[in-house]
Amino acid sequence: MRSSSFERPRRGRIALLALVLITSLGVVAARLYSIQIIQHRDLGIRANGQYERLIPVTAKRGTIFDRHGRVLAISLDGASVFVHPGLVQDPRATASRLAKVLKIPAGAIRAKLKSDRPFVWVERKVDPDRAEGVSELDLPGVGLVPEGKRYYPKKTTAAHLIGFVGVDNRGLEGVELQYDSLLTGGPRSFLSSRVDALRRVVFREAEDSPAVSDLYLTVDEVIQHVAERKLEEAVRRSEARSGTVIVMDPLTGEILALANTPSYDPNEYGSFPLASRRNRALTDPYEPGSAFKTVLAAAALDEGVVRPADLFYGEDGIIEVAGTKIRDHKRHGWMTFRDVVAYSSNVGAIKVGMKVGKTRFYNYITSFGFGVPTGVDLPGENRGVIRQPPDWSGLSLSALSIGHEISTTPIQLLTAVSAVANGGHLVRPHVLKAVRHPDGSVEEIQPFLIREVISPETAQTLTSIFTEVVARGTGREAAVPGFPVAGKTGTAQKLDRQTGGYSPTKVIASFVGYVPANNPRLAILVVIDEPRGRAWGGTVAAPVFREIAQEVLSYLAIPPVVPLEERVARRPDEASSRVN
Amino acid sequence: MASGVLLVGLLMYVWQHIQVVRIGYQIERLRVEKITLVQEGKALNVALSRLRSLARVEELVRGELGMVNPVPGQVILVDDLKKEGG
Repeated sequence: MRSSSFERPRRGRIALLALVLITSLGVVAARLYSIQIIQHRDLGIRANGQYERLIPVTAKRGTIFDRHGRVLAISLDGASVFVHPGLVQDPRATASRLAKVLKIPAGAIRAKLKSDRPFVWVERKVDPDRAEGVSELDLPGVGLVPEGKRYYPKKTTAAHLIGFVGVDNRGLEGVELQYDSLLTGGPRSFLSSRVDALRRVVFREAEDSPAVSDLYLTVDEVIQHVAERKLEEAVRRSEARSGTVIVMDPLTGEILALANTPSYDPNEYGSFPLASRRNRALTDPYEPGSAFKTVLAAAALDEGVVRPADLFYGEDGIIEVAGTKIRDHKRHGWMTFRDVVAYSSNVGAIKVGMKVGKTRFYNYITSFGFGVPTGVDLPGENRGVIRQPPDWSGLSLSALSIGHEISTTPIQLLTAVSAVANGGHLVRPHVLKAVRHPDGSVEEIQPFLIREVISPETAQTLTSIFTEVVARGTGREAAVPGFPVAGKTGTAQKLDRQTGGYSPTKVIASFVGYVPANNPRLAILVVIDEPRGRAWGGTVAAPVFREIAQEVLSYLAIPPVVPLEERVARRPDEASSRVN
Repeated sequence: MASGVLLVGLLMYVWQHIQVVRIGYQIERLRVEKITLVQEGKALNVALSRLRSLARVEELVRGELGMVNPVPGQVILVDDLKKEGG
C-alpha cells in the first residue's frame, strides 16, 4: 500500500518531465527544420556575406609573345595592403606602424581605419620590400592581397607596338589597349576573402573571375631589334628629329617590326615625354614626296596611258604650273618613263600626272587606301589627308604627282607599296598572329584582302622599274648584294609653320621598297624626319633599308637570288616608244 | 556495452572531423605554396627574358667578345650550294 502510494506521484512526475523534454525537443526540431530546410538558402547567403566578401582587384592579364613565343609582356603578382577596420585592435598604433613601413602619412591611414566599411585599401601595388615589411608586422585586421603587375622584360623593344597598362592594369596604348578585352577576359577580376576560424584572412580567386587569353604577335623580336638599332643609328648619325621603320610581309600584311625613334620603356612610361610614346608610324601623317611616285606610276601603267619606254622631255629641270615653278634636283633632257621613276624627275612625273588626269589619279589614290585608315589592329591610326578633285587647285594634280598636297602615314604608304610587291593585292596590315584561348585552343588570324588595286602585269612592270631605281637611280644605296631590290626614294620638303610655305632646309627623307624584288619576303619603309645638312631619301634612308634588309635576309636564311658580284642589269627598253 | 560502442563511434566521428579540418589547412598551405612557386617560375621567366634581350646580348657579344656581323659572301646557305651543285 505504502509503496504504491509512493510510486503514483513519481510516475506522474516522470511523465511530466518526459512531456517537457519531448515538447522542448519538438521545439528545437521545428526550429532546426525552419533554419536548415526552410530558410537554408537565405540564411546561407547572409552568413556568407558576413565572413566572405568579394574584392575587386586589378584585372589579370594574358601574356604577349612575339611570333616565335618569346615573352614581350607578362604579369606577375604584386601586393596591395588592405585593412578590415572592424578587426583592428589599436587603430593609432596600427596606423603609425603601417605608416613607417609604407612611407605614407599616418594621418591618412588613421582616417581609413575609422571607416565604417568592412574593407578598405591602404596602399595598392607596393614594392616587394614594403609588402614584406607589412607582412612581418602581423597586425590584426591588416592584410596583403595579390594584385597583378605588368612587366615588359625587353624594355624598349617594340614599345610602340606592345603599348602599356595603367595603374588599374587596363591597356592604355598599343596591343595592350587594342586587345584589352581578350587579355583581361572581362571587365574586372575578383578575389574572395574569407575570415577563417582562427580569424585569419584567406584569399581565393572568385569562381566568376574572367579567364584570360594569351596573344602571339606577328612581330619577330630579332627583326624588331635590327630595325630599332639601325634606325637609332641613322637618326643619331643624321642628327634627325625622329624616325620610323616598318618591316612587313607584303604577301600577308603581317607586321614583322615597327620601330620609332625616340622610343620609351613601357615599364616606366610615366617618365618619358608624350612625344616619345607616340606611335608615329600610325599617328603622324606627312607629305611623302617622291615616294608617292610609286602610286602615280601604278596609275599610269595600269590605265595604259604610259608605257615604260615612252619618252618625256625634262625641260632642263624646270617646269611652270599654274604660275609656280617646280624644279628637278638636276637637269634632265629626254628620258624614258623608266628614267623618270629611276631618277625621280619631278618634271617627268608632272607630265605623267597630266596624262593620267585628275579623276583617274584620285581613284587610284583612294583605291590604294590613302585617305582612310588601313584598319591595322593598333589604336590611334590617322587617316591622312587627300582632298577631292573638285577642291583641287590648278597646281594640285602636279603637286600630287610629286607627292605633295597629300599626307599619308608610314603604314598607309607601306601597305600601298606592298600591294605592288605582291602582284596587286591590297592586304590589311596586322600585328596579331594568333590567340591562345583560356581552354587552350589556338585561333590563327588569317590575312585579309581589302581589294585588288592593279593587274598582276602592271605590278610586274612596276617591280622591274622600281628595281632600276635601286640598280642605277636615286636608290643605289639601298642595293643588297645578292638580292634584287625594288624601291623608291622620297625627299619631301616640310611645311614651315611660320612662313606657311615649304621650308628650304627641313625635309622628310624616306625610302620604301621590297626584297627580293621577284619574290618579295620583306617590304620595308624608312622615314627620317628632319635630317641635318643636305639630306636626301637616297642618302639618309636608303642605307638604313640596306642594313636592315641585309641582316634580316641572313637571319631568315633566304638564299641570294643573283650571284654576289652581279648587280641587277638594266632591262632593255621595249621596242616601241612614244615621245612626250 | 552499447554506451561503449556509442563512445567509440563518437570519438571516431570527432577524429574524422579533426582530420578533415587538418587536411583542409594542409591543402590551403599547399595551394599557397603552389601559387608562390608558379609566381617564382614566372619571375624567373621574366629574368630570363630580360637577360636574353637582344639589346643586352648584342652589347655583350660586340663589346666583350668582339664579334661582328658577317659580310656578304661569308654566309653560304646549304640550299644555295645544293642549287648550284644541281
